[in-house]
Amino acid sequence: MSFFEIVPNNVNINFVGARKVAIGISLLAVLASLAVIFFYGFNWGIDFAGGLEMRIDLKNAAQNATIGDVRAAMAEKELPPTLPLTGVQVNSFIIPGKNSYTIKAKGEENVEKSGGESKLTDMSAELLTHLNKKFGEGNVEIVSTDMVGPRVGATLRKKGVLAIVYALIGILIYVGFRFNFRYSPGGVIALAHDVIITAGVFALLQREINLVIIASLLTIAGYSINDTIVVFDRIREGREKKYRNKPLAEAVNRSINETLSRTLLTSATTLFVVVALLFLGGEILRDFALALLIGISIGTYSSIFIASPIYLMLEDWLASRRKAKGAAR
Amino acid sequence: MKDKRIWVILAVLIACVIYLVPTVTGLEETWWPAQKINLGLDLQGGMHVVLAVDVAKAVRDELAHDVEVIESVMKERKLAYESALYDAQKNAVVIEFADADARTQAGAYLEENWNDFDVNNTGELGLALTMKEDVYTYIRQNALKQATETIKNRVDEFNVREPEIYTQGSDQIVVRLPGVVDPTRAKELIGKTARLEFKLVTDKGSFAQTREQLLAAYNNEPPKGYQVYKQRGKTRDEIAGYWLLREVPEMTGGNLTDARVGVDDMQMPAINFSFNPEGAKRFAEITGANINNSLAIVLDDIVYSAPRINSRIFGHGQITGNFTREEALDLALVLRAGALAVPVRIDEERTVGATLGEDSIAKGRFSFIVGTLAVLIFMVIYYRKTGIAAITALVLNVMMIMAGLALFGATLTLPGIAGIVLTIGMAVDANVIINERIREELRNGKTPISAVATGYERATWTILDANITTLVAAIVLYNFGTGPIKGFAVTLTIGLISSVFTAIYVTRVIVEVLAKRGGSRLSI
Repeated sequence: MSFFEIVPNNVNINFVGARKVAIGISLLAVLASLAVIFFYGFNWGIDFAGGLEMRIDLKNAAQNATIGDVRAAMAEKELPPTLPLTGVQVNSFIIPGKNSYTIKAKGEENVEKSGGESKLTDMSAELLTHLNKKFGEGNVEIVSTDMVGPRVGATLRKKGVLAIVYALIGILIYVGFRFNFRYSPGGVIALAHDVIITAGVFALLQREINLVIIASLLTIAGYSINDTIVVFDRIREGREKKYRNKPLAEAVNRSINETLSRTLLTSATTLFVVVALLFLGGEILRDFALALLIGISIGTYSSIFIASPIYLMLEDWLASRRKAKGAAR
Repeated sequence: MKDKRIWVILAVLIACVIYLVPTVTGLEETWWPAQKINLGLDLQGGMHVVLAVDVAKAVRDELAHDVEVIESVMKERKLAYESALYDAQKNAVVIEFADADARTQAGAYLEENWNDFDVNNTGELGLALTMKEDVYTYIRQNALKQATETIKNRVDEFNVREPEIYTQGSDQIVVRLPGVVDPTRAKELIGKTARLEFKLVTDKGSFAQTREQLLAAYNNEPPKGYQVYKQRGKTRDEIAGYWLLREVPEMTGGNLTDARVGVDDMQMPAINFSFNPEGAKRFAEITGANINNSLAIVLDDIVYSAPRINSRIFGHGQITGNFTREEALDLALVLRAGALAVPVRIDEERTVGATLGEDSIAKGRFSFIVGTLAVLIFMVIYYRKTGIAAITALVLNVMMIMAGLALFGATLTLPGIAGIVLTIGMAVDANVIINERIREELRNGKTPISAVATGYERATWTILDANITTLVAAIVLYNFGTGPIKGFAVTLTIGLISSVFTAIYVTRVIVEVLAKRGGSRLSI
């Protein structure tokens, strides 16, 4: 019987043989990512940095206002004393047929006023009043507002980090129980590898890290482990049956090859939808899709080149240690 | 139809249709067993505000009150104390005595009668009353509870469909108002302290154009027990002068039974209020004893008016102060609903206008359609007839996710839509695993029927393991996420479960039929 295949069924690429090179490259990429994160830092969105972000739509008489006008209206010396915003960024925000802009003042210092006073001082209302003065009453419509105070920012930061840590632990434990704890490190290292590199790319591009990006990092984690599990499952089955009498390296390599077409096909279908989201999903989902695009591509690579080879190396190391112990006796 | 699996699938399909009818057709009947899918605030527009309640102030107020009571008790029992002050940091009241004897007596008395405090000696002649931990906790919890109740009352009058108000942590209140068009006004209504006080303008009470003039006689510092208050001008932002008034009011708005908008002598909007019997009695006493004095009406530390008392007043009163009609309406509403005992402030605010929500839905739907079509076409090209099984599974999968959202009353958010789109991409994974397995078995020379059987058997655990690990990540996300992210976690979770069901169970029925019909060949 003949099938339509992108990967021939008898393929046997020596992935395991390339493990040292692959792990070397990955190690470099992870270190580079960590260095970028450390030296550049993340561009935290207001979910984590605190601050005020307002999307406005200019209409009626202000319909032809340009981004320059909005920037001028938000220039620091134009702002009234009731609105002590610093580091204001203005960008255009695309809604078809509308003249919309995003005004962003990141940093907790921008909302501390509302946090410090006992009365309900309302920064977003002050900002609207200011814009109404500049563009005329009734010409400014609020599309959306996000105001995050210092306490909330701190809570969200903590929750974001904890979420990723707990997800890793949970996955480690499940893999340990279902397979063997010797599989866990490979799976979790591959997963951390994917998440760290994606985060590194975001730091390098200085794309904003917000709650949605944290969600996409966790999705990448889930996807990455999903991919890896399928290969591990094959290795386990192979060791028990087909390749019982073959060297472990060969069993691992065969298993990677046998699942290769599945690994690539699934990545392809997932990437179809991710690309659709990236180009058609609108501005709010764009970075979410971008993170997935990066993460899933790297995840595909790591489930082939990183996860299983690490499992192999761990088994080799354990075997050599056993041997060394035996020799010592 | 001998195969009972077909009945199961049909049952699931019917259930899905029942749960999807309201969302698809807009049916809103109570007799129908299902409701529409809830849209998150990011899709339907609305506001989400997290308020921080100043619970520490409740403790401070309680301590300040205790100091007053203690002082009167000391006086009553003729105990020679020097001073009684509260220490907000230590949640304690410290009393200093003139001699050791008085301290011993007072200590014994307080120990016996003040169960809310631990009584200890401090310093040479001092007595420290430290608030007990459970009392402290109770006051804080109570302040949060009261604030939540008050805000609920106000929102009830604000006429919002399905508002959600709940407490979060030890001092936060979350207010979610779907479809609210004027967030500024809503925040004003929710967050206004609305503390109404009546203060007699007597003794040192006075008015001046500027703060400096007012305090000229007092070294620029208000005398003990007094405070400077602003007089409201023609608009809410204008200040018409300053009052020096006693800090402790003669009366508060706590005894109000009603507040409605009326008009004053000048035909301007004003607020008419009435007292309950207890309040009416007290108000009559105060006004009766102070004819020809002025009574300042202070709302949230702003003096609105200070009319001269011409006669004893029973039961009713009026607040005037150059209000616009809308302002008067809102003020009457918050006075009716009750004052917040302690102030609140905004910790987090998220508002989405309806336009953005509609745009998000449109874009989400479009990318969903394009992504799904791409996957479907790919599956058919790659797996031919068996690809149709995958397509069937995919369609049922999407229906199950949507029906699941309606069934659990979960909320669909923009990240949730992204979750559905993503599930489409990942759901075919299970089919890919199975189909690749079947191909392998066929290559090994098995007949289609046995290849299908082995393929499904072998692939089942792989699929379960792979999806359960992803489920771990989704559950963590649900527990740590807020709002839209929770929505994403929910769709992802439902999607994982339904994709396992459709891939392992539903497609198998179809592929088995294909295998039987095809004889020695299987289109895969």
